[in-house]
Amino acid sequence: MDINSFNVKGMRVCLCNTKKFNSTTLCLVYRTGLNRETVSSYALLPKILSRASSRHDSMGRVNRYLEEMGGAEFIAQPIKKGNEQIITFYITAPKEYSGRMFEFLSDTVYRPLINENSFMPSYVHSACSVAGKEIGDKINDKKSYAAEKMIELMCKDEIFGICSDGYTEDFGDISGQSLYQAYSRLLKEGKVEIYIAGDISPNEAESYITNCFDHVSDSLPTTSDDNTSTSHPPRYYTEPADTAQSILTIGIRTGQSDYPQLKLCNEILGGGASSRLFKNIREKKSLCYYINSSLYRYKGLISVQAGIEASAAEQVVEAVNDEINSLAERGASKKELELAKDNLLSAYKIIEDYPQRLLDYMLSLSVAGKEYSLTDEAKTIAEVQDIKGALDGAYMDTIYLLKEGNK
Amino acid sequence: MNDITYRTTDSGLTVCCIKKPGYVEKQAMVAVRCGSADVRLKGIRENFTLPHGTAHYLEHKMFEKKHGNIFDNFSHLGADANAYTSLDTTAYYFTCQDNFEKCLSLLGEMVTEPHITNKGIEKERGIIESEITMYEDNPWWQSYFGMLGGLYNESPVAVPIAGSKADIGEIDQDTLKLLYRSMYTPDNIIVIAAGDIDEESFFNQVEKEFLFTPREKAESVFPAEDRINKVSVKRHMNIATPIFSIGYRENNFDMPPLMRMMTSKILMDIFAGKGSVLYEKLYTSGLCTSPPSLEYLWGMQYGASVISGTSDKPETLLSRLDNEINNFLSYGISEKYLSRIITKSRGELKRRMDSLSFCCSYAADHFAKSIKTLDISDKYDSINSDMLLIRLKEHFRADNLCMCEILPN
Repeated sequence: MDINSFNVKGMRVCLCNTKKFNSTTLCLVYRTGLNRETVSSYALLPKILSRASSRHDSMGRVNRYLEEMGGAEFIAQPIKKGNEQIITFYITAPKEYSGRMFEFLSDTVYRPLINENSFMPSYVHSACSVAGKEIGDKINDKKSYAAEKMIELMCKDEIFGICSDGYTEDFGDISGQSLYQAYSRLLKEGKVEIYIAGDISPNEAESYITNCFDHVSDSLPTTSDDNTSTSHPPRYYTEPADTAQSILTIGIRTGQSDYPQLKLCNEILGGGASSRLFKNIREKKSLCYYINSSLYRYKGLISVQAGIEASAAEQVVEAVNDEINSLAERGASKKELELAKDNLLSAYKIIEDYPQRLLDYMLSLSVAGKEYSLTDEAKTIAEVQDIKGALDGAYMDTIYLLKEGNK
Repeated sequence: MNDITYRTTDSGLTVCCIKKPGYVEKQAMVAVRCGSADVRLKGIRENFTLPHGTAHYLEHKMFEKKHGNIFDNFSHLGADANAYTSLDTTAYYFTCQDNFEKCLSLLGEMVTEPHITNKGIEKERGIIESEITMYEDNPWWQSYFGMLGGLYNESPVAVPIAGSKADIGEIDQDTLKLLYRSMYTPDNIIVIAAGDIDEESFFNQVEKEFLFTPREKAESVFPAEDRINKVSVKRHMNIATPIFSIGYRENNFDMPPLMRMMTSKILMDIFAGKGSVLYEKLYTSGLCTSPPSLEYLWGMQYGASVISGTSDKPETLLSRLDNEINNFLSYGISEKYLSRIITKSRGELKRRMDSLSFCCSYAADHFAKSIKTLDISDKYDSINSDMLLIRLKEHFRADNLCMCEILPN
């Protein structure tokens, strides 16, 4: 797979060129700093833009056009990476439709259905109610709900704590005009990038973009740094849920920014079935149904999640604390470190088999200020000799229990 | 579409190789035509009924070997092993980058040499019970099986894959061994590989190492079903927006399974799909916030067309759906709609075949229905709007459905 990067018409393009897929995947993103003032309007934009454009001027026409494009999969949504809110438009379709896919993305983002500098009021209204509903429905997926809720509570005074899907209470104040103003501002102030995976040469990509897009203005997203939190005893939160199992989510601040070391620490701690949390807390102590940890790379946060019985919560918190302390103080054995490296390195290698994951990874590199590459980061991980000290100063900040109720 | 070959070993195993040049990962799968619904079996000498959840329990126990859990052996080779049980299939698979041959040998050992003991079965019980609890908390799962419970009276199709805690309490080593002996026979099994695979050496290795004892396979028997059990099922859970599953029961078993599936899916796409007039109306009137998902649940002796999603008013949605079906019955299906949906279906399959795990489970699914091909593109040529209208009239009837609603507390 060849990774190319170049600029066309003010847009930064990342092209992952390969013949192995039947389909082409494109992703156009607008990157902007997370901001409580603008987050809800920006969160609505993917909904309103993907519903209709001036060329395909109703939801039915858009969807039927996608069906004619070999049943293209089209996903437009806001995401969060670090302190950025990123508006993403992903489309995947059989490769014979590549040209039409570029055209469709350009229509969607740059030729919206508007009337006198306003989006259609009825469309805005339904986008608001759908977005509100989606936020309410997050509870249907208890694991991800709990993970997100913990971050929201832990980082409530930080930019990272802002929810990139927006806030229901804001939606009532958004009109067709104000949303159009937000749209114009995002185009002016956001940073636009295009990611491509598939059987397209750099020349082809350049000509598709030249033909389909007008010149865009490009700027760097302005993000502000967060308050740094200082060590404190963990804050406990409990929310009742009518479920048979409870979900415990623990937020840990590491205060570190060395990504390769943290990535390895997280892998050793709760990366998989050979990790310490899994072996010691699930298998040896049988304190939970599942347990794992994940790393928020831009913030140096580790989140541990376990499915438990509520009565075991205290024991699990203590056991997790012991594991963190022991990893911080004594580090990992050589064997553990090698196993963690092997796991991570093979995970890096297979990214290129999954087009959407591949493009999301390239976007992550961009947000981290790194060059597009499939191997650079893997190399830095392979070179780590020792993780001792990587968790010095790590502490449990927030403990959130979604607590089982009577069935 | 892709380079796909089917062969048969001397012992009668079906082998399928899906070549994907340039892929880093490789996946191999053994799929057995034996699922959670296969509980009433007709053997050569006797008939027997197994507890619900037996196939799933057996799936768990196949990982246990004399030397320990074979999962760890895969891990040491840098591979991930896993398995799943559906209504008509049990599948064991691994994904790896290197060591494909060694992993394939392990997979062969895993499925041909069961090590089933009562002690091991007891050890697993708690794990399976907690899996059952997890599904009890999953509103989508509850809605799906709630709907099947409405469509079927007696059929094991309506029982969740893992059974209930009471069901699995009846399972011991004799039950699992009986199921293994009756269903894990060479003619009932497919071995599949997808990735940058050398077809010849893959086939030879399977021929040499996947040695199942040839036996007479038992036949799975399903009770005859008369009327729909219940037209409506309701449950309450801790959710925000109601979740619904609407199922239309299959009654036409003269039609080959592939045709049942294809005609059903095309029809659902036409009247309730993303590009349908109905969906746009539902969205505009706030009855739906995302397109309902459309699926054909297909077995050899059962089946259902399933429409599921979230809505504040599932009952209103159902009556709109019924109206729309009647509209199509009155005004017919235009060639333009049909050809758009066929373009979509062909393209979608092509796109999804970019995923190795889709390739393998798709091949396993087809094998379960005795279909030895993956490329079904040319089959669409035989579908026309007249036959679709007949299917619409016979199958998508208001007296042939059940809707299960999961409502907020």
